[in-house]
Amino acid sequence: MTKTYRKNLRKMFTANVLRLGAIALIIAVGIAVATGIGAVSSQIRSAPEYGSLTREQVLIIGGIADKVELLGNVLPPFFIFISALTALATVTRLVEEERPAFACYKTLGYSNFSIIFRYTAFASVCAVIGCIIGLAVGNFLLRPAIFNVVKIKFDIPDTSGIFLTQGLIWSAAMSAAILLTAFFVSFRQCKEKPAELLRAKSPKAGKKIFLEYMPFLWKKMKFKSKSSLRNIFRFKGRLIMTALSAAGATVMLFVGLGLLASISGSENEKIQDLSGLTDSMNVIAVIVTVCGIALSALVLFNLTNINIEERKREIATLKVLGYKPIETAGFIYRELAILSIIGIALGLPSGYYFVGFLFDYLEFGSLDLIEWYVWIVVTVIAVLSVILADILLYGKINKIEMHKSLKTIE
Amino acid sequence: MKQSFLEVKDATKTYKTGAIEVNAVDKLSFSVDEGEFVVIAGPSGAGKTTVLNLLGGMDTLTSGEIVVDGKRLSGLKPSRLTLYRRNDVGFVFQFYNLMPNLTAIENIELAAEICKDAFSPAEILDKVNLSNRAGNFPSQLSGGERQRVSIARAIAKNPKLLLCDEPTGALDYATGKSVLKLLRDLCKNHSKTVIVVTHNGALKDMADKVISIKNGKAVSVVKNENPLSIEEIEW
Repeated sequence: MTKTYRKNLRKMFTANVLRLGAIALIIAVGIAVATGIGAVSSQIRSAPEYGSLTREQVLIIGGIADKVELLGNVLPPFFIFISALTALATVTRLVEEERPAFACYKTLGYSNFSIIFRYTAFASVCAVIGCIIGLAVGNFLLRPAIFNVVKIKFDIPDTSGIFLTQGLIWSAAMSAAILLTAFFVSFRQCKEKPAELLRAKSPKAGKKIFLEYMPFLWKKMKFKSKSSLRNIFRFKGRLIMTALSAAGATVMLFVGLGLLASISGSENEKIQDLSGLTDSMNVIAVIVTVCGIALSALVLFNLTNINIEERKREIATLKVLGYKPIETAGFIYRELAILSIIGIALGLPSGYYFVGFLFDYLEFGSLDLIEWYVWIVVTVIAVLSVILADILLYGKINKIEMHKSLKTIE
Repeated sequence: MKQSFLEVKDATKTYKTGAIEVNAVDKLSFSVDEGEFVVIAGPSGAGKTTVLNLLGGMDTLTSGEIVVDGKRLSGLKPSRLTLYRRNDVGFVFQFYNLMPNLTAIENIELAAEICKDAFSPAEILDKVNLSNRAGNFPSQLSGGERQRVSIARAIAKNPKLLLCDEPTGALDYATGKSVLKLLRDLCKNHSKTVIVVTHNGALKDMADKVISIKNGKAVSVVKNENPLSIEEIEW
């Protein structure tokens, strides 16, 4: 590894701090939940024999630990999936941006390994930072929050210690997923011939979408909506990623709020017995809901951020034509809105069935307890996180400079 | 004395990268009358595109003044500059900058929709002889056709000022000539003020006025009493 190669590697990191931070944060959310929940069951089981408790209570506490552990096994894969999707979108964008540099490396004769290393190194740093933050937050913040509830109910002595087994296992799984994604993306690019890489990637051609063949619908639509719909179907990959991310976050919200609703509305005798379980589930549900919101906003922000960077030219052209800032932003917002609605529409029923499966798996709660308002609250929160992403991105759209973005051929 | 349609006075645009300051445009001064066909010529890096960006309200002056039809551009707020770009200026880029997911006619509609006194997109498309390609996407058009759509988009806005940045730069000889003829005819037949920026010196002979720029300064401003027609110039 030459000195210049290392210097260039450092430059890539400094130029992409925001993206690195976004992915790391998204990873951290998932690892925090995995660590926090997983650590609780470990901590409960590690408590020394306490004489003040009855045999019955010891059994109940064991039962709680079991259920929490089950939950801790089921939720993390979700977070890993969403994190990997985000990494896929971000690294793909990074590789595309560096296409000319990529071409240079290849024509100069750098090995495929050295090129792939560049992007997997980036992903590794994201994963390491994200996992460390997640482990810390999970163990020092979330675990005590959940454990304290059980501790108070049953007067368990506070066992100090760090219970990171599950957190570390899930960190390994998450890191593997992120690294594989980065490897896959850069490997795919490596397969292209240097001559092709030197040529700029031509923008994807516009095509008529199926809706255009239904004139009675198409004619009635406003011009702006037509443009947005065509664009959505033009980039199938991004359509799937954004919709799936929105769906995944919606499912997460449904799990959190579904758990809360089933606890508060419960008349289940079983739950009465496991009153410590109810409270700990409450805390877990709140954590999962908050994480669902955070995840949703972060992921949509990141994806739309990438979208904006890809379309700097179009946005700059709109400004030159005299479109006002809010109108220009509207072009991006409309697409995000449509994709989010598709995602939320997919996520709601999926969330419902997933919660049903969860209840069966945990032998806790029942779908009947999920009232109609849960659906509405989930939708409202999901929509609010989209709006939050919109607000965060307005500044970026506005700052795009016309004379800079329209210069080169690209 | 009657004030010219477009007046540039001691215009300066300074770019700062770190500690280095570059004057892309350096105390530039010239004026343009209404309905003139002006060519701004000069070598690469002379500052021609910067001048056009400033005239088009896409960038702001560091010092000096630009007045277009009585409007002082330097004093305008961003929101007012947006309106200036919307209603008073039509811009033609070297690399077209069409929306790839809109058809030819829709690309024109995109611009016309927001203008007060816009022309009919279909009419303008006909004027550039592309009515039969109205439903095609830019990827389905040749370079010359794309540039004509780009010009149509600029004209449809019915602007006071038409700014063209190397409009023939990416086109072959014959196509380039036909595009220039189109611009010249528009200027003559509809009394539009047209400013074309180019590094192709041969185009000087067809202009009413030629402004030569070097290192951000106007080296000469020459009025052409008898501009040649497009057919007569060669490069």
